[in-house]
Amino acid sequence: MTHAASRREFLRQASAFAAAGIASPFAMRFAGIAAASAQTASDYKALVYVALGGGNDHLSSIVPYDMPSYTNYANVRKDLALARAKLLPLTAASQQKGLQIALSPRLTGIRKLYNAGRIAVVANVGPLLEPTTRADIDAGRAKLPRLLGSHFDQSNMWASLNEASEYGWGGRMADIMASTNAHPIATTISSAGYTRFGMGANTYAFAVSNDGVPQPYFEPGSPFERAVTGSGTRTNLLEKAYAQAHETLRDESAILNGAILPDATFGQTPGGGENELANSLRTIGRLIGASSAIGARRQVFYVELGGFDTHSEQNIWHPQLMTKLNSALVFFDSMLGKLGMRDKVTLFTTSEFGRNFVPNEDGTDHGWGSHHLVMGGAVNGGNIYGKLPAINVNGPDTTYEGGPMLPSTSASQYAATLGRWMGISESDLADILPDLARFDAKDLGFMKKA
Amino acid sequence: MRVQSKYMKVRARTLSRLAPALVAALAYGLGGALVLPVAAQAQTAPGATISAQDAERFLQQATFGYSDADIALVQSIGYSAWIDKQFAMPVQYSHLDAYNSIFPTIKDSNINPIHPGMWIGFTKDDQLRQRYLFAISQILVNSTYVNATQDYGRAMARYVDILQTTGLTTFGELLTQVSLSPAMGAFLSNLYNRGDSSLPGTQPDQNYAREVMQLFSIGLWQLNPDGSRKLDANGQPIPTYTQADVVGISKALTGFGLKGATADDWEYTNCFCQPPAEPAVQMKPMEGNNSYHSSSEKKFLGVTIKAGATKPITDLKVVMNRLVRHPNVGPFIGRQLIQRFVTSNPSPAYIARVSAVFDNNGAGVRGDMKAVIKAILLDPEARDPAKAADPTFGRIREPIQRYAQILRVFNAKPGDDPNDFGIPTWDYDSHKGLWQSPLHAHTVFNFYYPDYKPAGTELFKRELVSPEMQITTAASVGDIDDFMWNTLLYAGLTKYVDEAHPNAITLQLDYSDWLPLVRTPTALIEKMNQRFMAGQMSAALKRQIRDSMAAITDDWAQTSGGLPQLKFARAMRVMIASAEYVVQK
Repeated sequence: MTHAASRREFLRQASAFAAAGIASPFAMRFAGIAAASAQTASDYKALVYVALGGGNDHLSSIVPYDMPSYTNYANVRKDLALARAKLLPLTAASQQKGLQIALSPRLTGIRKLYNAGRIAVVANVGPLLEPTTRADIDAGRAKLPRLLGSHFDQSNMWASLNEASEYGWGGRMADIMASTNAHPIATTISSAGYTRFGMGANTYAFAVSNDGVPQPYFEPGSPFERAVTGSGTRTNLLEKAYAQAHETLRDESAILNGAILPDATFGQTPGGGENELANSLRTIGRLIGASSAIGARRQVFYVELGGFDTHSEQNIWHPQLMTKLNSALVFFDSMLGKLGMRDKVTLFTTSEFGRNFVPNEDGTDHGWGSHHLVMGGAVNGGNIYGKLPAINVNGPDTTYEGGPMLPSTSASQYAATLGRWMGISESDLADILPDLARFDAKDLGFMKKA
Repeated sequence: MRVQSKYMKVRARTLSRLAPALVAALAYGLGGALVLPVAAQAQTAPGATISAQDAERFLQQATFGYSDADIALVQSIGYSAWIDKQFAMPVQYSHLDAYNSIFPTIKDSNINPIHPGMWIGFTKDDQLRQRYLFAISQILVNSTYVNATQDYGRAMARYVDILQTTGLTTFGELLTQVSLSPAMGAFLSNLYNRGDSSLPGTQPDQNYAREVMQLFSIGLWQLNPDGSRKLDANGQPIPTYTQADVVGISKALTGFGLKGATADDWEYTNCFCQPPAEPAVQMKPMEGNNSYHSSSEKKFLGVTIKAGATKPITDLKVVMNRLVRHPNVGPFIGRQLIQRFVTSNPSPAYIARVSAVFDNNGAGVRGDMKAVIKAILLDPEARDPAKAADPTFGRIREPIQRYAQILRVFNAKPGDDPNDFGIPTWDYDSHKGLWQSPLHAHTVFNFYYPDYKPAGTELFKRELVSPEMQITTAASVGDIDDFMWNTLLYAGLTKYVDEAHPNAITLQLDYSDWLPLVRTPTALIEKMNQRFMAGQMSAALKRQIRDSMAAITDDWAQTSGGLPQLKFARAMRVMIASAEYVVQK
């Protein structure tokens, strides 16, 4: 028999083991609790953190549209500027001093959702320690976040929003909400492995893949399992950490694998497998659809789409990323529609930074503030929140001449608005987001009142 | 104390197998490396000073895999001489030569042959160079994952050769050659970087300027020689650079194109959408062109290059010199190398000792990388056998290291397809399989961060790091196991490729020394213990492996390599996935 045939045979055996895993003592232990609280799940809310990894060029996603701003933009961005005639202008109720914006031509579905009131734009957001002006920076008296411009550090800053903490604000919120779930360990879920955002003191993200929920590869109770987990007798802390990853796999799999909706539930995934964000959101949608079955009332999800670090060849790569973002968000909205859960789930974008206004030859460099999208049935969509920046190489909304856009809205305000919708109390929000106190507006208003 | 007595027992036993090890050495054909007659060996055998287990433990740190002969050699000549011997060994596998023989037609420069080439290199006899190559490739990161490098295969092959040759000279020379490499130029977009004075209205691309500081030399925070952060008067850490320094360096590094680039090449900007017209230039360093070099004033890290015409190469050398003499480089690079060879959480004193050697190799040379590696491997903290029982000591072997150990110990050879080194080509991009592929990190930040602390663990509570845990998740461990298991089980068997090749031979692993021992599991497991775990295997793990082998009785074995291979693969699978094995101590 060929290699391939015997591999199939092996896989059949493997899934037999995995099936046995569902009936393991762990599953039984959790099953009792789940049955007790599954009925409460009609009160369900979830946040989905979408990290646009590498630093999205906000000026190629959400583009200045009023004539004076567009002219400045086109003059500075030259070959990188998108043609005005092809842009998708957004109307907004909010007063923006005559400033207008439009979406990239690739974001047709997102414009539809904006017009349908399910997507809002939040302008010029970024990590800030306090309200900061260009004059403060020029005078050297501004208190700035550390290590601006570093991918790793600014990603962590967005995820943590507390320079004194190693935890993420999603994890801190999950710590508070986990007890309302039948299975506290299934509160935070990541499709991208490690996430600072999902790291709490007592909760941390379980890793799922585009294929769904991973299953143990060892038979329950076998000598193999004892070897992998060290039977709990290991003294070396690295061995313990490795063993713990397997215990998590075993326990989470026992909870989620019987409940996750089948892969086929939501039909064809856009991008034919090549749209990483759509693939990730498909798994998240399958899990959200299982929330009632596992007795989950509050969940936090983390997904990523990489490739935004467009220092060069931006005109080739950025439009493709916009297409992926567009079809993934439209797909997710349709999944939630099918589940009847649009108003229970709020997705929002983040990115470590936007990009500088002045380009390099064929790309853009690390900036700071950026525009972001919030999507869901509970969003006061079809509007722009925050304050659109002046499009000016050396204006009040730049950090230095030609440099990064100075955020006018703090990511802490953005996070507080989302956290409040999730039901996090004011005192907990103040604790999780220590810099929030320095900003007047504690709520940006883009979420409907609960 | 219990651990110590176990160690003593193993040590006494391993001394008695010295003679068989020498016989094995000759059989393994290492003649050149081991020509000592048995009598001379006996005279010089410092078995009393380096036990077989100590030698094995050293070889775990210094190689991907070792033979009985390697153990005997270390015992015979000692650690320091063994390191010297390794450094004296010529490069055993040139990636550029291999690339040129696979693609003799110069026009073709895609990246694919790099992947099997990395694994082939890892199995060669210059093992310390190979371990170093893998280590430094995780610090001076370049990647075939991104689109920008797809047509720079030949440049990438040369890049790997730079790491394994220039990489063993001085750090300054290494960083200079890396910065001038077209592969790095393509990866971090410094190739054809111009801006400001030569292209008004733009600024130079800051990508390489930032990462060459943040990741390749000085890091983000000012460090003491022991790796701790320097603090200002308010007790706050002090950044090593500001955005203004990034801008200054970005200007100084403008003006580099492929050798012989024409004005047209420059006008086509950074067009990586097609291979360069003459890929032979990928085998040369980038070349400066004064016309595309910034003539602005360049200020960075306390250095000022006055406005006016300067040569790109002159400015680049000013940048390199400034970075390399920064006091951060020793602790910043040294700590990460220690993490790759020995332990994730070296003591400050260990880092300081390595930093001191980086600063001065004893002959006044700064950044002598051979001296740095030697200092890392000979340090008391690396060599003290008692450290194996320290709960905070050791490092998680990278999935690549685990797989390379299998390839090396079982003397791997490709199957019918010379490029098939057991690497699933269908998974190059998704990282499935091992979830890690050499020279294939998703970004310049490597596969994981040097300071990664796994959430919810005691490591986290105690502020201890384990970088490799970042890719050890519920989603990855099953894929890694599946990959190992399939490799071990189907080694040397056939697989269906297409109608013309229904029974293609797959990766070959030489199990001939091992399969006869399957009937005596205790002996088999002891051999696995010595060759894979430096004699550190617990009685519990031995029992778990034995029980796992005994559980296999079904006739499914008839479909693969027979019952012995199935049982052996099962034993190996359990060991390779075990928590005990995974942590190199």
